[in-house]
Amino acid sequence: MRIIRIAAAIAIFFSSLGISSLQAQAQGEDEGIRVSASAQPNEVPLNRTAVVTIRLEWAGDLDRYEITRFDNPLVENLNIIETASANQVQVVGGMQVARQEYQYTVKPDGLGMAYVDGIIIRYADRETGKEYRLASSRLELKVIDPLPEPGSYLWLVILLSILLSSLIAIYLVRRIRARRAEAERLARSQAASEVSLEQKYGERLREEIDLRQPDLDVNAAFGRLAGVLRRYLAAKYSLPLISATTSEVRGLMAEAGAEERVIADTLAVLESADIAKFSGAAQMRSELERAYTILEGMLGTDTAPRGGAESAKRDD
Amino acid sequence: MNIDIQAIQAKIERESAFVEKITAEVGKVIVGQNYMIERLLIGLLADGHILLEGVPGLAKTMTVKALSAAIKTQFQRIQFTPDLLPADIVGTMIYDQKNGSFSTKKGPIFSNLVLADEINRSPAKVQSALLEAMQERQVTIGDTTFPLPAPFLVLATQNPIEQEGTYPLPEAQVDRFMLKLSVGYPDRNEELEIMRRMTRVDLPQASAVVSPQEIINARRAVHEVYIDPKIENYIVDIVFATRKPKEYGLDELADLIAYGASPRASIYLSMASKAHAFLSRRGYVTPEDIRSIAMDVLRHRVIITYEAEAEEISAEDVVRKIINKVEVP
Repeated sequence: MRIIRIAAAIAIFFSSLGISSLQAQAQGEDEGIRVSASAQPNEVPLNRTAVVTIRLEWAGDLDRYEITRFDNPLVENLNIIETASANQVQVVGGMQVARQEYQYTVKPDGLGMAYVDGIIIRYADRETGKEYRLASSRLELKVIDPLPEPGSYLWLVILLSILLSSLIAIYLVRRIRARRAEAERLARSQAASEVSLEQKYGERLREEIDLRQPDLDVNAAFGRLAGVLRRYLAAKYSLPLISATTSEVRGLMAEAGAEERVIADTLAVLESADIAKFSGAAQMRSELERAYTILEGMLGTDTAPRGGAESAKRDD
Repeated sequence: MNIDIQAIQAKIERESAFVEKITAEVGKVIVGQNYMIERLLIGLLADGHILLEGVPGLAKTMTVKALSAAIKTQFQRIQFTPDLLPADIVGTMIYDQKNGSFSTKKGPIFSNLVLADEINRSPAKVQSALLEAMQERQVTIGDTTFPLPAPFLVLATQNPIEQEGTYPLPEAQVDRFMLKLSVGYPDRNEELEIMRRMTRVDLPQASAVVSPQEIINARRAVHEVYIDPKIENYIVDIVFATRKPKEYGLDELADLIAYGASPRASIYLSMASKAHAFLSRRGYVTPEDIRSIAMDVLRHRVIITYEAEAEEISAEDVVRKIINKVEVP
């Protein structure tokens, strides 16, 4: 009767244990030791491990039984890479329960099914000296596709980091170069601004009109010449001469305190230019050269070599 | 393009000889007002009507009378009043009881020089009758159309200060005047001379020194005055700046102009600048001519916004800014 009660208690105890993984149980020949085998998890990726646990339990003290034989399990498509064991004594419902647990960490060899064969356990009852034999169930594990390793994208991260770093470096280098170029440009423009107005407009006069050209359009050249003069005077006296007529130029320059000689020279050039620009009549080249000379005199430079059709012929 | 500028110049010299005579003759009666006299001659030479605006007593009417006397032309003055009728201007058909038929009685508009005094005192239908005749240069009475004599020039006056009981001219009709002159007060010396001259017993009179044919010949010469494409572009730039000021760097005017100048402005600016060059005895137009005449051509063609009025900015201020900004060729 007592044995029946103990067995019932053990049965209730084991039924209360929730094992979500694959599990198989067997009872010893004397109904003293109960063995269970489980694999956690039962679907294992190729590059991961599973834990196979063999658990022996019985009522009473831990040394009540002597485990005389306990071989490592035979495995198929698996490798045992680690083993561990633990003993434990617990009191459940006022009754002492002893437990021995053997854990095998297994790693799959290939995709497909893997098996842990049942193991044979031999033990002896120390009270009676009788020996018993017990076998655990066979376990199945499904080996599935490997999971990506946590470090598998590291190369991509490293590549992106290198790329990003390169871009930042290029940007910084360009920015530094642009700043240097801007500083140089500013320095150049500052240096250019130090060039006198007369030099600047003398240079512009040279660029606008080349008196050596034998087929120079005299009327058009007069227009450019007047433009250079107006811009020069506008810059020199800070006057709105670009939108002023020739007679207005006289008044504005007089108000700005320009010398009479400069005003007279200016009017001489602009009036000749007005005739060339607006009368529709072809102006003489000599008139252009005269106006050019006056402007050169105002700019205080001898800006261009003389030439033209007559000079060209003489040169020949 | 080959322009015989010397031939044009010689013609201008020849045909403009009367200008000094006419100016001297008008100057016998009018003291100062050279600006107004010059503009009246421009209107006469460029075949464009003129609107004179100024306070009473500035010799507007007297100048027009003196000019007509100097030209030996028919002159009519029409005093515009609220009860004036279109027939009082253009004429009408009158029934002759003796003959039992209708005969045409031409109105005062059939004259070479017509002074429409205080044009804004008459209602729109009367203004309309005059302005239509100005444009068409002909008048229809009954079934018959009569051409107006040549030269035909309307000089209208209006008073800018008394606005009560007036009928302001609509923009479309003001646009038909080539020039709108703003007549100002004389200076101190001129005022003194006016006082002395007008208080004499024998008031000075202008006598005829120019024939209408001379004016017609001069008009032909004005048409021959050379205008360079650069000047034409300058005119178009100025007119376009009234329409699209932002494109000419005049952003501040964009909100001040409701309507820019019409193409008539370009036409009249070209014609008036030729006449101005003619008066200067020059065979070609320069930017000076444009700058000189632009304000009178544009001041009544640029319509400002309420915003501009609120800021007490006039059309003249706007035009002045444009002229001072647009680059001279």
